[in-house]
Amino acid sequence: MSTYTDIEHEKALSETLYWENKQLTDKKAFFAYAQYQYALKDYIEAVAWYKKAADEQYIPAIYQLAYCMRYSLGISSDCKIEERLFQTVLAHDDGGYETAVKYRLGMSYTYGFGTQIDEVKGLAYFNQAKEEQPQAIYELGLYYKSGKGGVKADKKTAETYFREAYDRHCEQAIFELFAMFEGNFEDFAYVREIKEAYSFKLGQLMRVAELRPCKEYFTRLADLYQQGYPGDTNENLGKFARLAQKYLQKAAGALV
Amino acid sequence: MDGLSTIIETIVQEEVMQHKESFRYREAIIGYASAQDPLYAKLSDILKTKQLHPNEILPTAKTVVVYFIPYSLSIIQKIQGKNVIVQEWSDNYTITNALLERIGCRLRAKLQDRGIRAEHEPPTCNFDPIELTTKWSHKASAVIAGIGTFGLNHLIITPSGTAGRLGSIIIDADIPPTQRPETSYCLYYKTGKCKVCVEKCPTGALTETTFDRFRCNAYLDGKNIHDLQQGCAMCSSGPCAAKGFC
Repeated sequence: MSTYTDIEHEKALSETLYWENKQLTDKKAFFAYAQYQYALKDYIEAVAWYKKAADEQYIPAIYQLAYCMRYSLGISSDCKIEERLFQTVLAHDDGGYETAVKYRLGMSYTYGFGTQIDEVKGLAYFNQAKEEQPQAIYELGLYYKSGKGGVKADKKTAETYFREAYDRHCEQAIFELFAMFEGNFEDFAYVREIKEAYSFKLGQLMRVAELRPCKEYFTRLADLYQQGYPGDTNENLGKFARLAQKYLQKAAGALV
Repeated sequence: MDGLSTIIETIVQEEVMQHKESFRYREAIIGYASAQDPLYAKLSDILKTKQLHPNEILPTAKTVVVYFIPYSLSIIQKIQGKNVIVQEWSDNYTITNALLERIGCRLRAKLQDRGIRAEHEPPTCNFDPIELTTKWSHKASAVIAGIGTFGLNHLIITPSGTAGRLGSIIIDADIPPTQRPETSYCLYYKTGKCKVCVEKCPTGALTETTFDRFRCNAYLDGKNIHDLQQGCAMCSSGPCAAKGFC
C-alpha cells in the first residue's frame, strides 16, 4: 500500500498533457475524457461529457450519467430519468465478456439500478469482474462486510478485499478499512495511508472548488472538513470545524 | 579568500538580477558554512534521518556556500491574503528551479577554472519518494551558514523573509563562515504570537508542535493534479513572507 497519491498524481498529469492535445471527436473520446474529469472529482465537467456520449447512445456513458444522477454528482437527482437510463443500460449492455459490463451488471443487481435488487446475481457478476475491475473487488468487500448475497459476514475477508482494492487504487477502500477498524487510531495498520488518502481527497476537492466555485463543490469540501481528519488533534479538529463552517457559508452564498 | 566570495556573490547576484524575468526576485542572500562545522556531524540526529556530511559529497570539502533567492514583493503580494494558488507563484517555483540549477553549474565551472573542486545537489527532486526525506538539506545548510533560522512554518526565515528558494554548493576552498543570527527571525518564536502559517495550512499538516510531511505532500498531489501548478504557498505567505523579524 501507499505511494498511491504520488502515482495518481503522475497519472493525472500525464493524462492532462494527453487531453490538452487531443481533439474530442467521437463518443468513446467523450466518455474517456469524462472519466478523466470524474477521477479528478470535477463531476460537473464529467457529466457534461457523459451527456454528449450518452446522446450518441454510448452505454457506458448512459450508465455513468445515471449513476451521477443517483448520487447527485455534478447533476441533480431525478428518479424517473435515472431509472429510465439504468433500464436502457440493462436492455442494451451486451458487451459479452467485457468485465466493465459485468461490473455494471453487478452494480445494477446489487443496488437495484433499473431492476429489482438481486444480490446473488450481483455477487456473481462482481466475482466475474474482479480480475480487471478494482471497484468490483471493493464491492466484494462490502458483501463480506455486511454479509449479503448468500455470503456470511466475514470481517477478515472483507478487509482482504478492501486492501487489495486500495492497492489497485480504489480510493474508497481505504476509508472503508478505516471505518471497520475498532481501537486506538495509532494501532490502525495503515495510519499513513489513511492520512494520505484523506489529504489527497481534500486537495482534489479544494482544486475543483477553486476551479469551479459552486454550491456542490463547497458543500463537498465542507463535508470533508466536518468529517475531520482521522485520529487528529483537538486543535486541528477545531480548525477543521471552522473551515467547514466557512465553506458552508460559501455554499450558501453560491448561486448554483 | 575574500576574492573568492566576491566571485561567488557576483555570479549569484548577476544570475538573479539580470534574469530575463528579474521582476520575480529580490537580491539574493549568500552565506558560508565551514564544512567542518560540528552541526553537520549532528544533523542526522537532529533531523532524525540520515544526512550526508559535506565530506561525503566532496571528500576535500572545506566550505558550503548557500544562497537564498527571495521572491519579489509583487509576486508575494499576489499570494498574500488569498487561499488559492496563483499562477505566478507556481511559475516562480518552476523558473527558479532552472535558475538555481544554472547558478550551481556556473559556480562550479567558474571555480573549477580556478582549480577549486565543487559539487552541488539539485534544487529539488533529490528526495526519497517513499519517506519524503532528503540526504542533503539545503535548509539545514542555510541555518548553519547563517542565512536564516527555522520558523514555525518549518521553512527558513531570512532577513528578506521566507518566500523564496535555496541552493547550495560544496567547495574545497576556505571562505570565512558567516556569523549565525543570535535570535530567531520567526515572529512566533520571538514573541509567542502570530501562528498565521499554522492557521492557513489547509490540511492541518502544520501545527504548533509538528509538521506532517505526508499530509502536506498528499494534499499537494491532489490539489495540483491538473493544472501543472506547483506548491501551495499558504505557509510561506504570512507576515514573514517578505521579511524576517530581527
